[in-house]
Amino acid sequence: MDLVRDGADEFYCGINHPEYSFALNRREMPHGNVPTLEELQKIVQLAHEHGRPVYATLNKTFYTGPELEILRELIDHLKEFGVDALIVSDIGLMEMLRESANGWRLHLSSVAAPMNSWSVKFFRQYGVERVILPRLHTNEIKNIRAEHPDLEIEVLALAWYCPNYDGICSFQHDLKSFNDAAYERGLMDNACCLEYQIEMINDGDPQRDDFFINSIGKRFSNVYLRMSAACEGCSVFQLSHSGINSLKVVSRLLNRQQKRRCLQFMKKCVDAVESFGKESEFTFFVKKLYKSSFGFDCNNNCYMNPVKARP
Amino acid sequence: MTVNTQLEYHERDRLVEKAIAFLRTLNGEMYRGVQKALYVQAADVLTEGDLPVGEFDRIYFGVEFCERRIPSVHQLEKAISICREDGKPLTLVTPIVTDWGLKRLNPLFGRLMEYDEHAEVVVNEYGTLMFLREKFPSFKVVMGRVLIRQKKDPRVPLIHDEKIRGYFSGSVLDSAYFCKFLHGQNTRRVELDNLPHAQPPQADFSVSLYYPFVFITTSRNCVAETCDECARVHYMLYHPTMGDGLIFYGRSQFFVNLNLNWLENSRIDRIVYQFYVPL
Repeated sequence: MDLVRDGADEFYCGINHPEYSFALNRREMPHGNVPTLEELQKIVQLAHEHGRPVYATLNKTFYTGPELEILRELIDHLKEFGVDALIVSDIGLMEMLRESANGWRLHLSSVAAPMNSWSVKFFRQYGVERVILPRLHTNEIKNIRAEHPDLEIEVLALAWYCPNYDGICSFQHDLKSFNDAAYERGLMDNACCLEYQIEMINDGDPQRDDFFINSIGKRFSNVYLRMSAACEGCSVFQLSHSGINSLKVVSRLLNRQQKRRCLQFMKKCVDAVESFGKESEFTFFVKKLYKSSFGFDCNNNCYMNPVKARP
Repeated sequence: MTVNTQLEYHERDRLVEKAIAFLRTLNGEMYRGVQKALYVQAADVLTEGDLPVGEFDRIYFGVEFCERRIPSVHQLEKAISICREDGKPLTLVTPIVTDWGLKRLNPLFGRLMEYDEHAEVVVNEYGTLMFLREKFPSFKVVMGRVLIRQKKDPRVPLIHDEKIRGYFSGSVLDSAYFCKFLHGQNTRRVELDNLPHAQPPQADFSVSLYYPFVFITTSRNCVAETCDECARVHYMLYHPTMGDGLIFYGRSQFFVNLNLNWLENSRIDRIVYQFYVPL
């Protein structure tokens, strides 16, 4: 268990269903999920031997009726294997779990988009014990913490940089796997990764054209339509004062070496933060650490950066 | 905060022509009994004479996606005043909000309550739903199109396999458990996008259909530095698989679907006509 040695306190994963060809969680790519139930059973057993819990993601943006029936059976297996919690987002699934009253510990996925303290209150009606927050400013996180002092709060620390709200976005991930011919032409990649021809429409004042093209157009290309790993290392300073219980290192699509590198980096950030009194000094430390961890300079591709810029 | 009039204001004549054409479309027998709602984000739009406001059955007022563009109480007052004069019911639309946005909505709810304690409020976020249930329980809550989830990728019609295409044609309303939740909330109306590949919902709710802008996604990140800048620019994103292109406005992305092709044999009894690209 390299990952335990690297600092992982808990694990989460999705599962591919043996008889259902569509994904049962938000990570639609099959290689982002545990391939079989047998494999999952081994993972849970091994993690428990090291005193680490395993959480299963059932966090599609929504489930249809037939999918919920598939889940009902799958969830029984998860219980049998000793999975410690379900990461959920769909109201229908939460209603089903409430009805079955089988005592699951529930974590609310960021896919549910719990944006404010009232939405957290709403989801807590379903017995949610931990909330994984979407992209929020640290002040907004503090506000939720103040309203819910007994709640476990988790935030994403290293993630794929998608500018959209994960749970609200209705573009389809991995559409290419449904359409091989189009994939061969490179047309069915995730919508946020496509190469678009961009036309800017302004309010009809030609004198503004240069301004738009030079400033906003450039900003648009930089902020949107680029999807790469995004880091929240520097934010650990602010987050450490926000009452966060858990940081999620999103790495389901990474290989083992990449997973370890990300985990080691984030663990060092967390371990070091208390020794820094000033945020600027911590940021300097993180940027140096970033370079030594990943082999290249930090490119300021911060997960929450645009939010910070407009508090 | 000063916000300019909407982006397409300079093309108002063209927009009015489009609205009139839309109304003509709905004159046919097929649309008998279908309510026509006019959606505006600023009350001023309603007072500028040439828009045939009188031909609509209801006014939708508010924003769906950006909490920074929540209208002021003053704007709501104007909308209420116009609706009262014309005898039209008003629906207040609320966006995805943080706690900050919810605080901004609170006075709007208070004013709307004074006007009509049973007014319709569209919610697009569960915190707002919870807030209304506790603080303003008499409002008729309508579940907005952000919460009634569908698979909206414009490339779905390009999928060859009919069975797989069918999988992408559903919505969260296909879930009996979700419908049970809606009934528990005493919700009688849900709102959907006019997707080219969707199947009409069979669930037991009244359904509003948004037209012509199909919402795809939204973000916390705003390209514009200021709301004034946001009001003056949007982007078209073209790609061979994306039909006539995606509209990127404010924080959100849309495509346009001008065909009302799944009205028959459905529970759709209201079409929400959006005068501008929504925010």
